[in-house]
Amino acid sequence: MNTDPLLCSSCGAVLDASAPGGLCPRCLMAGALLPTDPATGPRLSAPPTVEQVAAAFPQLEVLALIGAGGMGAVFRARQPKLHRLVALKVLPASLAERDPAFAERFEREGQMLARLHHPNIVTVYDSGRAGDFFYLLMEHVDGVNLRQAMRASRFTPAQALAIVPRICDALQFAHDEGVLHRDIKPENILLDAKGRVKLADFGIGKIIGESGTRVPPVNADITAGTAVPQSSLTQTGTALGTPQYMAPEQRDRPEQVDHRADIYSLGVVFYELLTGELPVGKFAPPSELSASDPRVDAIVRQALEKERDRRQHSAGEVRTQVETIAGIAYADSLKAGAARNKRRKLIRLGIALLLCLPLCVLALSALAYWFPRQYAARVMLEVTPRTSTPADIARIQKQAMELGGKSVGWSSHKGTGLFDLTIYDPNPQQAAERANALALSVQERNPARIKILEEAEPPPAIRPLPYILRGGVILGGLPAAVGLVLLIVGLAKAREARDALPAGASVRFLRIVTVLVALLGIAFWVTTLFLPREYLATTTMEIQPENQASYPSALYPQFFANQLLIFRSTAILYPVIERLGLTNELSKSQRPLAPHQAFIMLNDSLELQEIRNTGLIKLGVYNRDPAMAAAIANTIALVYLEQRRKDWERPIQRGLEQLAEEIQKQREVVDAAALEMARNRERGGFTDRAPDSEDSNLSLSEEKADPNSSSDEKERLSSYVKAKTIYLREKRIYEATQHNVSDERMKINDYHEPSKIWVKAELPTEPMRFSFRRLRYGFSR
Amino acid sequence: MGSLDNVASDENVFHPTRWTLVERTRGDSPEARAALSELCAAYYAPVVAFLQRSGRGEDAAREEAHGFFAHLLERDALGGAERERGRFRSYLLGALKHFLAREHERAQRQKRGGGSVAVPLDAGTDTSPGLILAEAHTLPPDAFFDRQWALAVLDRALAALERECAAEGKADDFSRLKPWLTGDAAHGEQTATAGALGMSEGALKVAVHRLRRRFRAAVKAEIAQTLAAPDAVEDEMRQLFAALGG
Repeated sequence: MNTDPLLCSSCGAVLDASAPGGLCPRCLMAGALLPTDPATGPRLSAPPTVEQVAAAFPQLEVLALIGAGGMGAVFRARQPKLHRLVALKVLPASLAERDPAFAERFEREGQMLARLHHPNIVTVYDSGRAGDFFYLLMEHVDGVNLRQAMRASRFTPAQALAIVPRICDALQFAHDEGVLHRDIKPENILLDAKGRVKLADFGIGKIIGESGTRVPPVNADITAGTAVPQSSLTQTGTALGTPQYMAPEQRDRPEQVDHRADIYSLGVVFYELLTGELPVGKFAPPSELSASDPRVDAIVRQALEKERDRRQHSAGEVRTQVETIAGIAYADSLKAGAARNKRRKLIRLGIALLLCLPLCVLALSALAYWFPRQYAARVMLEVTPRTSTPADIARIQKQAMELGGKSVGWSSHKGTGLFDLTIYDPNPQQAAERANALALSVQERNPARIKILEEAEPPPAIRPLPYILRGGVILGGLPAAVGLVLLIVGLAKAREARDALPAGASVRFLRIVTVLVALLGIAFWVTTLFLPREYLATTTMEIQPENQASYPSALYPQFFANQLLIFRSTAILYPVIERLGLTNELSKSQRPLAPHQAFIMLNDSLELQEIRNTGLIKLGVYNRDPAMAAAIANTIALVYLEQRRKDWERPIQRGLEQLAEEIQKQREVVDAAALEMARNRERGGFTDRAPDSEDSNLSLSEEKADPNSSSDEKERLSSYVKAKTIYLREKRIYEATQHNVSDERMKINDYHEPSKIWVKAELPTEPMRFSFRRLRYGFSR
Repeated sequence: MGSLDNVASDENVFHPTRWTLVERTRGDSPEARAALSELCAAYYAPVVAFLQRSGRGEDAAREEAHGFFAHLLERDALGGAERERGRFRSYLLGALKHFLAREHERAQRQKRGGGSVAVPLDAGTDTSPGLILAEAHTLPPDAFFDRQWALAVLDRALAALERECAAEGKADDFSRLKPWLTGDAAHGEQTATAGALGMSEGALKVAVHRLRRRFRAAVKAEIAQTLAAPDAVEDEMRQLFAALGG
């Protein structure tokens, strides 16, 4: 209620911590001081006690005093026969002693009042004299009077506009019956617990007023801000009413009053309802003092005219005037209501669309139940060699999909060359056969590149849940997203317009959803507590291309992306598995895993992260054993570096192998040439002491000088020289090739390791407390 | 505590108040002693606040209040203190001042005897509350005590009312309607609160009125317990209202 929690909303005092219940103590005590209950109200004479009244009314169970005024008192009583509560108003019999006509008048008026049956008039059941009292037995109204209600909380203009027509109804009805009220004031207008308006104390003023016992008016009840108790009687001597609410002519010529005096009093009550003040002297129009509609001013002013001819002619007219304005106000509120309904519709639509998601999932599961069961057979393939590029692997996967046709699904382990093919079929046997056939045909299309790791076996019945969920999300996701947006927009608008949120189903739904989400979150968190703890070991590595000149900077991101895939590839992870014996270590049972199973597990437990713009990557490994996590992380880093070195060396090695082959061939060529040369020398009988040396020409020329040499000899010599020349050339080539080999060998030694490990993984000490990964794998293993 | 609640609900029946019980028997009967100890428990807070106001730390004030009540509940202490106009409030303040004066004397004697007592210089040199060097903007000690007393009364009345409402299963109504106990609502509050409680605006007004009436009765019942004469309640209420700066 306090807009600022530190200030009292009523008196503006600053509240400190000592304020009881966070309320302003001064205003609390002031509230407690305000006397509205019978024990403390100002009274002129002591009311009779419950016992006295009970003695006079044996047919009633008199329960308690509920109000006392100057001349009479009202008791709550019960009529045992009828099981109903009644209000018993008693007047002291001494009145009749002062005015002999009183008894007769009381009887006459009582009869008239008993005729007034109207929903807005407190019904009089009975009247008469019992013991020392004149009494009126009336309908018991379980509520408060307008004075108390005004004090409880001020009336809004709308509330006032709703109440006044009801009073008019009651008045018009009574006036038609020829009964004047003569004492309309907030104390005589009752509101019952359901908010209904009831006019009380009709004509009481007349009964008592004509008794002629005029006592100076008592007006303490209004001016002092204190109230006459509920259902009070007109006090003796106020002539025919209460001065502040009395029409001028009622004060001056009480014998001449007509129904227009009631209209004046009604005007006063109306004014007070709107402004909380009494219209005294030149009073301000209600719209100046309150938020009421300026059009109300004219109605109030007319009712308060001193000349009764200028007032409204009847209570019904007041009612019509008020309802016209209320109707306009109602139209305004309808407009606002329409806007609010629009916002609410938006919220409801949002919620309805949000519901699409679970509904789609439900519908799909229903469908899955009715449709023929499908069985999923799975084969696992590996693309070899391990150094295949991702694009290459993707091409083969695509080909497999095309081969498999409609009912095939696949999932791949990113960047590894391993992938699954799943065949759906209503027959498990057939599913397995088709899957295996597909695997074989993929293998045929890519000779020597496909390794079948796992053959399909006739599968058990499919677990459709993941597919249903996925399908449900795909179907219901879009409307749900739209619904979420609408809901957020609607709620924001409602907040802006300060709507009280509809207390209907939508809010309940929101609450349920919130609670469900919270419960899910808690369940999620609790589940992670029970999952086995995992440790995360991290190494930090720097990765650089070997030949930076050949890598323009624009290609760096590509380089990194490739390298991150390489970490996950079989080329790195298989050696790691081998080296650490992970087929045994990762196995949950005694039996070792197949290498590809260990590979998939290892791949799943990897976490790779590029540190932007640094050339560094972080390599994290999860494992239940901290030492194993660190070992795996370090081994992966090492194997990667070795692999990089091998990648560097591989073309050189290949060159060396080619060279070796060439050397081998050259060797044979040289040997053949040497043989040819030796044969020629023998045939010629030459003695070439140094057949391998270049200066052999000399000895040849010596022999040339021999005079006896025939042409045949000359020919022999020339072929020998030719053979030797060939031999020498081939030998030079052979030697040069051998030289190249040592050059290439030098290159291998030149490798400068551009990539390195910066931070080795150390033994992790703290297990990872919370991670989605743990949840995911905690369930699947 | 139970009898207090009853008083709040059926105020028309005359019960001897606790303070009358104490007074009538001069604190000798067991019921009177129980009544006195209940009264002391109820108005513990103003005494502590008063002691704090006269310069003691929170713990010291609690300790001293403890000592004071222990002293008060001793058999002979009641006869010694002078009672004023049949009000427990006046009696308690008088007794407290008396007690402090005696404590002060004793402390002085102990000091002479060599015992060192840690007493704050500014306030502890004279524990008679009337002579405390009060800061200009704060209340005089007696008025401060009365203010604390009034706060305690309101606090207890609110708590009693809340208990009653909770017993009737209307705890929610109470917490929502509570702000109206101090005055009128802000604009638009009525509709919202009525909507939240599922009642019409007219019915809300009725409910507020009833809650106020019950609160009034609760305050009166609370105050009546500390008075010898039941008809002095109004007067005591006005005094407490004045003490709150009204």
